[in-house]
Amino acid sequence: MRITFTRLAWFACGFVLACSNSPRQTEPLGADTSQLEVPVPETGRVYLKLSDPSLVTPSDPADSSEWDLAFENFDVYTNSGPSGSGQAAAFGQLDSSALEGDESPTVPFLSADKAGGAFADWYAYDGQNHALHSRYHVYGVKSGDRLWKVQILSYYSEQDNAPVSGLYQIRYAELSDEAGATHTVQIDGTAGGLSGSASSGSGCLDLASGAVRQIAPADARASLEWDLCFRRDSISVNGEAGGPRGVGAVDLQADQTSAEQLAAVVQQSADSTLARFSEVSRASLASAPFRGDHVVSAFETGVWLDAEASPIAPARAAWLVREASGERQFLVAFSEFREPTASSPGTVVVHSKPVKQ
Amino acid sequence: MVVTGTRTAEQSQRATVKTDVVTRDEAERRGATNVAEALSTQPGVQVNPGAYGYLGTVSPIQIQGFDLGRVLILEDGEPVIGDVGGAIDLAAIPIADLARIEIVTGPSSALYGSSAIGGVVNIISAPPRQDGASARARSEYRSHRGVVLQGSAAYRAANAWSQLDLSRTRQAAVAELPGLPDTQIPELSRSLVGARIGGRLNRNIELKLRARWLHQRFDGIESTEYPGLGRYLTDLPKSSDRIALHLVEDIRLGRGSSLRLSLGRQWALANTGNFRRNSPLGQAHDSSQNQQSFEATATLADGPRTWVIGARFETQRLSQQLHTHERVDGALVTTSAAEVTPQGLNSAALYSQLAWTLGRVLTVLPGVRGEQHGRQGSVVAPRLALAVRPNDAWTLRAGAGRGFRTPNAEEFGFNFDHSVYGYKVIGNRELKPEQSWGVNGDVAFRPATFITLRAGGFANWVRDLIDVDLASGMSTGTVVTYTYANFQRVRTAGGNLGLTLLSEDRFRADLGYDYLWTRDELSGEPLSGRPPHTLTASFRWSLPWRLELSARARSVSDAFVDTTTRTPGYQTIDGRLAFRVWPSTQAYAGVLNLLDVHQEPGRVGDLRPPLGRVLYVGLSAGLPSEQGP
Repeated sequence: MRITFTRLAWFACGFVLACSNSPRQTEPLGADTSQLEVPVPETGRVYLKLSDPSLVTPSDPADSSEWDLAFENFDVYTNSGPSGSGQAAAFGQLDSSALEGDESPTVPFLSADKAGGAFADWYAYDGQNHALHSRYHVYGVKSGDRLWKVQILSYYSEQDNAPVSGLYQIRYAELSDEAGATHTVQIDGTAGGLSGSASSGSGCLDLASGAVRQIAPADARASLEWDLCFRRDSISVNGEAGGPRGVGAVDLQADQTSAEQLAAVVQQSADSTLARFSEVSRASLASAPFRGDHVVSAFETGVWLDAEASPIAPARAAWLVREASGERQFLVAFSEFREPTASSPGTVVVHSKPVKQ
Repeated sequence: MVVTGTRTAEQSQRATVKTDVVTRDEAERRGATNVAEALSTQPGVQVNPGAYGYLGTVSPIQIQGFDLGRVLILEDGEPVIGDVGGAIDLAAIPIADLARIEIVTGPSSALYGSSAIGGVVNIISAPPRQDGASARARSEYRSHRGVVLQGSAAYRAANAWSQLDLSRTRQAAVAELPGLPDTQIPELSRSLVGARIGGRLNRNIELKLRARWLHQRFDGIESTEYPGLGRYLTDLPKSSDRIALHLVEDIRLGRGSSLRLSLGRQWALANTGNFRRNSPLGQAHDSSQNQQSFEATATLADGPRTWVIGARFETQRLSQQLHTHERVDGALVTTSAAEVTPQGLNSAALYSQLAWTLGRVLTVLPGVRGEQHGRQGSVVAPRLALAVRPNDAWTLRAGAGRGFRTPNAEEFGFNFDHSVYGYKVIGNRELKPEQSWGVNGDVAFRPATFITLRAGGFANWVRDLIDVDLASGMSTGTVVTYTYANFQRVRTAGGNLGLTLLSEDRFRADLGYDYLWTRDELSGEPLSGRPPHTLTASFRWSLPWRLELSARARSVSDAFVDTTTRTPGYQTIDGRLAFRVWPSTQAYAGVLNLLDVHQEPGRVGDLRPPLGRVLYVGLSAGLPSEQGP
């Protein structure tokens, strides 16, 4: 959601005279980097190859290893996951001083692009006990003209005297002019359990009817019969990349996520957070930025943008990027947006250098 | 006599390659019931069972900073299989049929091939010493409801002998935290049944057959609090069996030369479970490993020169299955999947070594081993060792050689799916062998029969170390996939000082200091869990009234774990008082870890002993008496 808020802030800036328009003072990035100017169009994507820093035009971007990074509006994608068939991946943010080194910095993992949405951070992970604790955030869901509020109560239920993960309990209510009834439902998101396969069904909920169906992920992406699908620890929304129904969702406490401590999250319960759920009304969602599932990369929605800068500017940071062939790694940073617009950063000045692994 | 350093019998004091020895008697004085306990206070090595909690309850050894598959463990010269994550559990090997343990430090791949990077530990049995029928037994009771029963019965005739060895130990579980059922150490039991027979077919040919079955079982408990549901118990049973057959034929060729042919076969089976208490749901892993080997070693004496020329052929098979019991669509189902895809590893090796003694002062020992592996290609490991004895007082030894470790079946074919916890670890079929260079040197000075001074040093350079590359995990959705890679480079170096004081058979005191320096060349940090300073002191004193007092003290410095964590230093003191009831029969009482230092539950990388103070009392008897009245 951060890109959305950043975009909104910047859009707003375009109409508010008080916003500063002075160029941002920047210090040079690593002296031995290659520099490439990438003009990002108002619509469509532009593709970049890192080994010989240049813009490329792959004939079939979805099945090509010719490109490593792609720019579309204010999003940056790597050639991996739902974005491409390559083995590209990235990790960031790193401090921009990483560009001074010649060796690959130690990072915990490299992330391929993945589908994500409003529910991406619904839980806090307790690494010591390997337990997922709901943050008890309230999510707004817009399906057609109807609005709903949804809260995840539990990821676990008892079965055969044992706790089983993926058996969700949620509560939801429709937000109409009159207060809708609150429903509590259990959804089997075990996806075939520990031995399940990629084609095992997800537990998919149609909010209007309350029906829960098991739908395989491939079928779900073409189905109009659901609003939210629960699959192990992932919750998807039937809109944008998630499916054709045009459903959008928003985490109403997204701005609190980064500050939430596990110890505090653990103390919460369905009862203690009922008030938070009850407080949400139709008016609460009047200007909420609903989105369906979309592709999230290590240049996570907005992380590569400096939210404080005006006009919009890239964050002073670096990313470790693996090229589409999976062989070499590069450090990548962005120094400048030239002539940005409301839907494009304009020309992005990209710095990159290969690093030893 | 020692054999491990050069594959030829040498007096331990005059061995061309420094070889430390722990005899069975010394192991018992240390209060040991198994090889791990026998070596836990041995200078120059670290046996820290607490350091490998992530592998379960295992006690591997660390030599010159290397462990987990980089130290070769042999039983009568035959590599032991059945590792857990590369760790051979020395606690699983009782000392019931032990004659002595030989420890060679430094790279020895020129003689033994894969895994001999940090050193070699050879656990050696021996035929019965007495003619006719003989037997020995040991019965001991320990803290934590520990019971030790060990015994052997043997018969030796003019040209043949046989021996049956039995061992059974058990210990109650130790709780992790008060008020919770979780076990810090699971309830455990270990058993050994072994049979050995040997005979001389004629004056030149001797046959020896050893069969042993080792079994161990652990029963641990874990409890977890689940959000919104409460606390649930999980039973964690684990059992393993290892069966080893080893047939050796020794043929005298005359003039001091000989040919040794050996056939080995081992099976290692392990089962681990993770079952919800009072529920049909859970998971079980079972692994199966076997190894067959044939080895021929010729020892050819030619005056001052002794050649050792050998060939070894080996095949290994390993597979691991995961069985999941769960409810799917309302029905209880059990599914099985390969956690390690079945792997077959074959290898052939040729080795040669020359021991050339020049003027009784200098021995030069060049050697080389070449191995061809079906998967990993070929490896060549040379070694050159020198020993100089200018007189009876001085011994100077130096050696340089290469060590290597070939990837194991797990590293090739692992498929460890913990997606539910957010990660997977998979094998890599492109791995190549780890390779090292190492140099060792030591000097021993014995100015009089009652005193020996020793000093030594070593350095190792290792590249292409295999490990799970946590820095290059691949994230797909919510799961990060890691794989093994040849990416690490490390260096280790160190030195040691030692002093031994002897007064005939009545008194012996040893003082030793070991220094270890390690460096991960990628991170620039030390290797995790390698204490730089270790001080060991021990004495044995034969007192009046047929009493013998022995004590050992060990001080281990704190050690690097990661950039934010160090494991604390600690001291242990062991003591034992024995009363000779009859010749070869002792009643004894002792204490291990008198200061009761122990691990802190949940503390990462804690090297301190998992078990605190242990008191024991026992009786050991040998029949007929092996000593005069």
